[in-house]
Amino acid sequence: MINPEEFLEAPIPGMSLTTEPGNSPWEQPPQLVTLQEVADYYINNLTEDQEAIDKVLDAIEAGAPLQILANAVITFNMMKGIHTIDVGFLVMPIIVEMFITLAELNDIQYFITPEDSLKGKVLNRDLVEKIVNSSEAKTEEALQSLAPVSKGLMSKGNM
Amino acid sequence: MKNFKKYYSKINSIVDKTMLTPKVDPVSKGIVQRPAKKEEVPVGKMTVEQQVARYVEIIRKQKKELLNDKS
Repeated sequence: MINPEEFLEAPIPGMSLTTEPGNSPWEQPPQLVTLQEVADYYINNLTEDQEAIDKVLDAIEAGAPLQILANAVITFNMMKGIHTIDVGFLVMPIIVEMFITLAELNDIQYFITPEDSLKGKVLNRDLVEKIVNSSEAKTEEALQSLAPVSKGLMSKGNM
Repeated sequence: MKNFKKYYSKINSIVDKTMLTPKVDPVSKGIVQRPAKKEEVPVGKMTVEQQVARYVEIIRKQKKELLNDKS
C-alpha cells in the first residue's frame, strides 16, 4: 500500500498542463544532434571543467557506480535540452570510460554497475595486467635461479 | 540497465578486437606474401557501435599514455 505521505507528495493530475506547452527545454529541438557532437561535448566537459571533474571524483570516491553517475549526467543534460535521450544512451559507454580514466588517474576505486558494487567486484584492467605481468616475471626469475639438476653418476655436485 | 550491460560488453568486444589485433608489418615480402590491404571505413559509414568503440579506444589509449607518464 502507498504511504499516505508519499501519496500527497505526488503531482496533482493535470499539473503538467498548467504551464504553456513547449516552454520546457526538453520540449524544444535538441542543441546537439549527432553522436559525434554529443560525444565531443561530454569529452570536452570532462577534461576541461575542473569543477565537474571534482564533483565526479567525489561521487566515485563515495562509492557511486559509474553507470548510475553516467545516467544522472545524461538525464540532467537531456532536461537542459542539450541532446535527446536516445543519443544520450548511445554515448553512455564513452562517459563511463571517461569516468574510469578519471578514477584510475586519481587512484580511486570504482564500480561500473550497481551489481559490481554489491559484490565488491572491481574491474580494473590495468591492475590485473600489472599483476599478471609481475607474476610472470617472478616465475621466470625463479626458474632461472634454480640450481641445475645432476644428470648421472659422473656429474657429481659440489660436496 | 540490463540493456546497458549488453551494449557496453558489445562495445568492449569491438574495442578489444581492434586493440589486440597486431599491426601488419608494412614491409612487403613479395607479391605472393603481400597482405590484403585493409580498407579503412570512413566515419560516416561506420555503424553506431563502431563509432562509439572508436571513441572508447582513443580514450583508453590516452589513458595508457597518461598512466605511463605518471609511473
